[in-house]
Amino acid sequence: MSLRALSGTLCLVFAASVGAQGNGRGAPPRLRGDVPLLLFRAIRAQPTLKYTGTYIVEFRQSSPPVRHQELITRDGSQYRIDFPTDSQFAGQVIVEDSHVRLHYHPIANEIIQQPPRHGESWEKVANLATDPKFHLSTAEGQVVAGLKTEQLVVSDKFGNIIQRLFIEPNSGVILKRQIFDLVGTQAGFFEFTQIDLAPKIDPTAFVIKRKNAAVITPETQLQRVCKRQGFVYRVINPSSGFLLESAIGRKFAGIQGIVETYVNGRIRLWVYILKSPVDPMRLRQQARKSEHFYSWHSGEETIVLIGNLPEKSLENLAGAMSVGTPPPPAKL
Amino acid sequence: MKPVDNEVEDAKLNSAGQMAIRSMIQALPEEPVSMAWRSALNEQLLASAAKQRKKRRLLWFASPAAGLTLVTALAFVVMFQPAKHIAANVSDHGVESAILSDHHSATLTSEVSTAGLNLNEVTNDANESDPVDGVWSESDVESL
Repeated sequence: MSLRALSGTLCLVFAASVGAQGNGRGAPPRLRGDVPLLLFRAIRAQPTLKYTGTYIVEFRQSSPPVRHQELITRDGSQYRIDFPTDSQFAGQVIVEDSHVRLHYHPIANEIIQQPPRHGESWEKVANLATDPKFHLSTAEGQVVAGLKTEQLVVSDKFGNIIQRLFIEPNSGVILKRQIFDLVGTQAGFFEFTQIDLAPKIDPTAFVIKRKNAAVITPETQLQRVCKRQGFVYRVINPSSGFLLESAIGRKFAGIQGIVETYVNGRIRLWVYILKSPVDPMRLRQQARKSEHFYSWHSGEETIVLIGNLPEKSLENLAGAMSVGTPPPPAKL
Repeated sequence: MKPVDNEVEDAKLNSAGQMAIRSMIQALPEEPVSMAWRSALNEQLLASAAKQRKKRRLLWFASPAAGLTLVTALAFVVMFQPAKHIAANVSDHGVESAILSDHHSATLTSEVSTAGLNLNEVTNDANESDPVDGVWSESDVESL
């Protein structure tokens, strides 16, 4: 296949795949002209990848770094995640397709129903091929999970490495991904330790059936945490395109707060609510270039929206935030 | 007093030393007080009295005013005590830094996680959840 034909095919695949994420955000962005073939292969393979395997995930942003193992079963856009029997997450099961993510917690006997998440990571990889701010190059890879890989190096315009992807070139599967912080320290990674690229997968693997389990939505989680911490229930209207993914209570410099996370494809939005004043000038001084925010006070609470969105969009989203009672519990 | 004691006292008063002092005092010349001195004394007494009156008048006004001020200040302290949940100085707590730090972590780690657990779930959702109340966060535990 000629390069032109391959590019055309990949454009179609890319357009179809991004469109399939279903966020209704219009035409997909245009592919760059300097995208390495290795990344093309990875993008092309994403919608049809089928494998089972085990990988390690490590987050270094917490202290000490946290590492755990996940057992993955994947068939295209369908995923199932289990955990080893000696894991602190043993018994939890996550299944996900292009519409919903269900996370079963055995002790609470609850199924957390959330927006799908894999689309976000897939779109982030696809974004490498469209966003001109990334400088892409290839390098020799490593043997990962017994398979030889080629390396895609993603840098900024100054040559600072942002991430490294180790891709098995024939299948296009990303076997290892490292993310680096601003000073080049590895902030986190995932790496396959074992993978089967031709597995037999039982279709029922992607179904969670538990008759007496309660189905909990992120809105219910938010209601719980608001009740426990004495906060007003505030949520961004889903008609904005941003879906609530999670809500947790957290302390910020000793002050109680709530963090709400929203997703809209690969765009994430964080809402911080604190029972304390927050100085917008200080936020502006300390925020990074890509971090935009909009904040306001309501009663004794300060609400801060942070995301990689123009401040005007954040202001509009603030207008889409409603105060009141959550919807009734979901049913599967 | 017993009669014996009286006799002793009389004897002391009529002693030679006492008699000598008595005669010396009687021999002192009698000095008449001048009118000028009396006048000066009167003026001093009048001035002193005027000052006393002024001071008393001032106190008459100042005491209730001071009392009222004290009561008002106490009332302010009791009535308008700052709420406990608001930090005395937010900037000192670095709440803005804490928010941005959390956001940086969340942004970076969201790049790493795929379909699996994210950092919040890894740090909060271990199988230590309360079976009745569901998933607990770290701050929930702290608030117990």
